[in-house]
Amino acid sequence: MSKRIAVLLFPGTNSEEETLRILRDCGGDAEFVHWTHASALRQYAAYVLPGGFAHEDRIRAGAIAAHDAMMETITAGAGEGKLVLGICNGAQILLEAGLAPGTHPARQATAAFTHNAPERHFICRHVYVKLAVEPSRCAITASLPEDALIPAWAAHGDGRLAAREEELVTIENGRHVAFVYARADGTVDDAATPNGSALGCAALTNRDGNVLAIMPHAERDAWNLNHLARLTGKDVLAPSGGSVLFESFVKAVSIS
Amino acid sequence: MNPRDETVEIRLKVPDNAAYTALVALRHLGIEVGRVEHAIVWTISDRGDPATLVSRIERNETLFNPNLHVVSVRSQSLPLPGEIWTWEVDRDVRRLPGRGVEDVSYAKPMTSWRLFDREGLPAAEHDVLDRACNELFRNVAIEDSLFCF
Amino acid sequence: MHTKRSPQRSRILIELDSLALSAGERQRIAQALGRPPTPVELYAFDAQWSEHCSYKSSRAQLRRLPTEGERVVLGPGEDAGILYLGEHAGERYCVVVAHESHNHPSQVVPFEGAATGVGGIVRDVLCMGARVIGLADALRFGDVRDPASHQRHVARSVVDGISAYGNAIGVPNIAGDVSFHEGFNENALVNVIALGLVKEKEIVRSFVPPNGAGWALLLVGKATDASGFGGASFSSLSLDAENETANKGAVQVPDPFLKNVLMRATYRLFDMLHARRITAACKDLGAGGVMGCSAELCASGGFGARIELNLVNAAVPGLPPEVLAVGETQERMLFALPPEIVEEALRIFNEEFTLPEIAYNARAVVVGSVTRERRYVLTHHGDTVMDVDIEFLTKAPFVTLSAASTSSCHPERSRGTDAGNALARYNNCSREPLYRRYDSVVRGCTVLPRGYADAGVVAPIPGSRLGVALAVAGDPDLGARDPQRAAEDAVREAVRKVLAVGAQPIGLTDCLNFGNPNKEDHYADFIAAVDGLERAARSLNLPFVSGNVSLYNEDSAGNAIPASAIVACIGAIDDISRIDGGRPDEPDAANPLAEIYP
Repeated sequence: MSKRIAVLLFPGTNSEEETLRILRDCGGDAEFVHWTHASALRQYAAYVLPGGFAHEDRIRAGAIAAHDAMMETITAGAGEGKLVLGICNGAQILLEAGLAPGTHPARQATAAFTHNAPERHFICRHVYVKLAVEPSRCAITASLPEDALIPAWAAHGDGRLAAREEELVTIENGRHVAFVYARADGTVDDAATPNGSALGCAALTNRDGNVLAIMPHAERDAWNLNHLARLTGKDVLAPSGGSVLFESFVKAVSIS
Repeated sequence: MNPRDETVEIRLKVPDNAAYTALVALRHLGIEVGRVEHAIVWTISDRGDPATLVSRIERNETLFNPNLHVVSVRSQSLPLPGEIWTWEVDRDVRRLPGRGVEDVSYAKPMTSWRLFDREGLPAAEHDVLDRACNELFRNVAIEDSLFCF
Repeated sequence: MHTKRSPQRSRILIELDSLALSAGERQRIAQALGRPPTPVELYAFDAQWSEHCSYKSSRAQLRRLPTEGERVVLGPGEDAGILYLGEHAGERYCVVVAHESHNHPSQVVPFEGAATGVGGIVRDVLCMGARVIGLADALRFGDVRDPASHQRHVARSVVDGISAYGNAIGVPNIAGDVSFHEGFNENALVNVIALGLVKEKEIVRSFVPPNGAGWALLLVGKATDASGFGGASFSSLSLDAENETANKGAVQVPDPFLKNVLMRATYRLFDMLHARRITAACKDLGAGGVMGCSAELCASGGFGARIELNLVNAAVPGLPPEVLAVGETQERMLFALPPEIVEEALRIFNEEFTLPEIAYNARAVVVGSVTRERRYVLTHHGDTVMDVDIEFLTKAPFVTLSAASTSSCHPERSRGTDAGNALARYNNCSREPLYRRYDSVVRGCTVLPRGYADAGVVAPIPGSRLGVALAVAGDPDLGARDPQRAAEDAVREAVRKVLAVGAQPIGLTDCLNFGNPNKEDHYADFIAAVDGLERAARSLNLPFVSGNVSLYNEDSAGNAIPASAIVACIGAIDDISRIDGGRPDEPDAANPLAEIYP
């Protein structure tokens, strides 16, 4: 029996269709689960929280969604080792819910993806993210090559990792930073980070490596048609680029 | 003139969507409240004439739009009964942008949430305010807070 | 607040508010009714006969524009135009397009004005049964050099408003332009364009179908409040400082969160209707509120309507009937549905998509029904507060205007002023600081995001090589000097931009932003621009499928803005692998626009 993946719909989610599409194109048995059907979530093997503005990020990005009834099942599932992938707003929700970096025993938030710096504005920019840990550190990235460089779009107003100083040390030492921002050639420097994120962080994983909270949208540069350099002839509709992250996720689900 | 510390409140006079969302979220958390008010509260250091502070802020288009906002100066730099203030620990705004506020040398914005019970009285139970603050209004990793019960 | 409003209170309100209806129009109404109009009727006619709703000053001119062509599925006349795109997997797909201005609200409350502009244009496309797949914005601002100026504030807040709304609802902003000219100092322009995708057989029309007698009228969305009261007349009056108090009532509060959910719930309803092969009618609520929307939906199907205003979900108790009738509260749609489907529709909006939890008292509610008798009747707690012939209500009288016979070419208005020269640096630099605030890639269908080429391109049908290109154009400098040539050039430039990415231009939309039509020279500019649009479109054999007119754009001294015929061109692409684009600009702190959009 194939293992089913739930793509969660919060009120205000806006990236659900492309997220479902790339999961399916990568062979995943994925479907939407709507916020009024929280009780259906338990039967799924893995969870994806897509991007958007759940509850319009009122109060704080992800703050209200982190208390949605759906998150009880996600938290329990993460505790059982189920795979959880949060993208952009989904990542913000995972941090608010304390699932990533997940360093507090009582699942309290220890960090946040918060307003960009130096300017507190929404940015939409094409970026690259580079795998900053050995692939097996996080089950979701296990099939990626070392130093994998993935194209994606940063499209957020709140993408800067922020935490108290001692927590940033814990995050760094515990190898929780799964991806950092990089240039197209793989160079990692401050200029590659579009939002002032601490540690150049683009994605966080938890201690057990079954949760990944990633800010940039790999699913928006995930088919040849999304990228001029790959926009050619017969394969224009094929998955490529950012799709490798979802292939790795789907593979991890199948062996989980 | 020596700088004076002032507490300024800017409130929406049109329907406040965030306050309604907060109310629904609190009820989902099982925190019983009847109503939520929401405002931005600035603590500022002002060298100008206190009597003109409101009118100076009202000239600043970045902070104030007469069609949307009401400004008032509070007599105390502490939350009111039932009120929670949260602020980002790493955000200090030294100068305010735009005109009218050149005499303001230091300003720090805080978010105010004021909770009222079903009878319309300010929320007075410590537990209600503590839970509302720490489970919803504040992310302890990046924000500090103050509330009055 | 739980104050109850007595009938006397609402009558006082009428006397205080200024209505835009002319004395002649009021007389005409009284004559037709054979009695003095009720307060609600006065407000209703004021909204329905406003320029904004009726195009009473512009209709005759607009008729000259070509609107037919082999790709045209639906020309101007409903909320949006529809063009045939191509076939995929045996289905015929169409592009839906709408183009509107939100100029006056954006001048007074720039963030909210621009945001609600996006909200409105998205509903225009949504109500045709389409998925909304793209946005574009054409912005014209004044002299923004002084950081403390109102113009700078407007330029910044408008972009923030468009970005906040478009990003949250998840529609990529793929095209647009911005220019700066001192002629917009007191009257900025905010034009927005939305694109949709729909299968030809699933198009939803904005009129009640022939079998619609007795159908339910379902109002869906935000609770009605007084915030947008008087908006239709508002956008048809010049702005001046004295009127500021009156203008305040027309602030519309945007709620993109509610719109995000409302859009997806509407998609669900349409899917359900298509699955059951039910033809419903839908229209978005804009100027004229519940009254304007329901009257047009029913009148254009040859029916009348009866609505109980006290059933309208309201934000505060005790709203007077005229506010419930014509208030312009955002994020609302109206559906005409066969009775057997009503329960399921209510369930979708209120339970599955939990509208009442998304915004205060937001919901779907049946407010009335379609009637065979061609009357438009409003009741309020049992009292009939409006009862008029629906044809009379929805057909505003023409206004005959005279135009100056002199040429409307103004060489003396050519650039050369200090401000004009100084603004050149803002006009001749990369638009990157502005467009990086817009989500250009949500939905994962974007092929050419903003900044990659002259036109944006999306491939909206998963698994298909079909693409849609969109570009806008309109040069205010040229408009100030020669309105006709500027309009002509706007068409040609928009078309060139679409050709430049390798797409085939298939249709046009226009928004005509002009001065006061009652002033002969302003009106002459308008006529000249229509001449230009007509000439260019006919020579290129391209139809206009949708458009909008925004008049009374003038400053406090009575000078019109630079003539601004802003044109969008829609292109079709058979195979997206053949398109062409470039690289976007890198962020550059030295870019003059980075002063405004840091």
